[in-house]
Amino acid sequence: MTPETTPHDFRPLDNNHPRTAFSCGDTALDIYFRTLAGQSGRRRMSVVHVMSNTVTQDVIAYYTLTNASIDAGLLPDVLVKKNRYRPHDTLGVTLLGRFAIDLRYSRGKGWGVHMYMDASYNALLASRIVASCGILLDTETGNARAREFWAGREFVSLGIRNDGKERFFISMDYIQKLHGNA
Amino acid sequence: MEKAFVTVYQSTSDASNIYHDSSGLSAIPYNGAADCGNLAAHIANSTFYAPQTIYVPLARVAVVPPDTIVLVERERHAFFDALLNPGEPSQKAMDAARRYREKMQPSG
Repeated sequence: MTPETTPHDFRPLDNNHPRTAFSCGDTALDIYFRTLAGQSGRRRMSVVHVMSNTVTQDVIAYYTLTNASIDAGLLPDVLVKKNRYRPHDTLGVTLLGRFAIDLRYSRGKGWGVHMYMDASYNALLASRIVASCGILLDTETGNARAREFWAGREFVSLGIRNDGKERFFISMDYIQKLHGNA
Repeated sequence: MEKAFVTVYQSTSDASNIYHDSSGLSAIPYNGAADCGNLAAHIANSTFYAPQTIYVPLARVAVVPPDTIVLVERERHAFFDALLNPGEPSQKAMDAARRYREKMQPSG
């Protein structure tokens, strides 16, 4: 089953999504989706986007997007002088907080890339209303597969943090080039 | 110089640069710990893990809301490089984006 051959759609999580059968193999991501995702959306902590098989109604995958701000310390001169930021301004950023694919949808078939395209497209659209300088995400400690995936999507590693998580960033200008004037 | 009492905690995410105050705000040294004067020196010379209240010049700390993500010094260079020099998407990425658009937005 690939994105090209499987009828599917993307839409924000609602009560019609069958959540209990979802399993991506990561307990924390499974528990979040089964028990916390609805509340998270209702409280506007994040928007949960779900990819569903429109024939079987299976949940194929989900991801979450959240607005945040980033404090990177003193900004470079180019941002201060050219873009008129204050020297210690914070920058708007889009958090790709969770990203999970159900085990029933075999890996290596392009589902992850396809969902990333939806996530980045939505982040780009949102950035035209609420400013965002890029997409930021943290991979879990020791998750080499995730590191490889995001590096393959041309995300830039900001390094491994003391808690073992690796932080990745990609600028919204890059996303703009990827999707054009979508 | 105006001063304030700040209750500092060693951050669980990166103890080197981030100190949280009692209300959940974060006290961030400008230019990293080296430029933070009394606060950094106090932290550096302590082995404490429990919260402590110390008296610091306000000018030496930046207070940011709790939902702000703070980059530590070693992350800043890569972040600004990626932000200011975004590069061009590879042909593989462009092809994936085109397939996505054709599948999900056929009318576009």
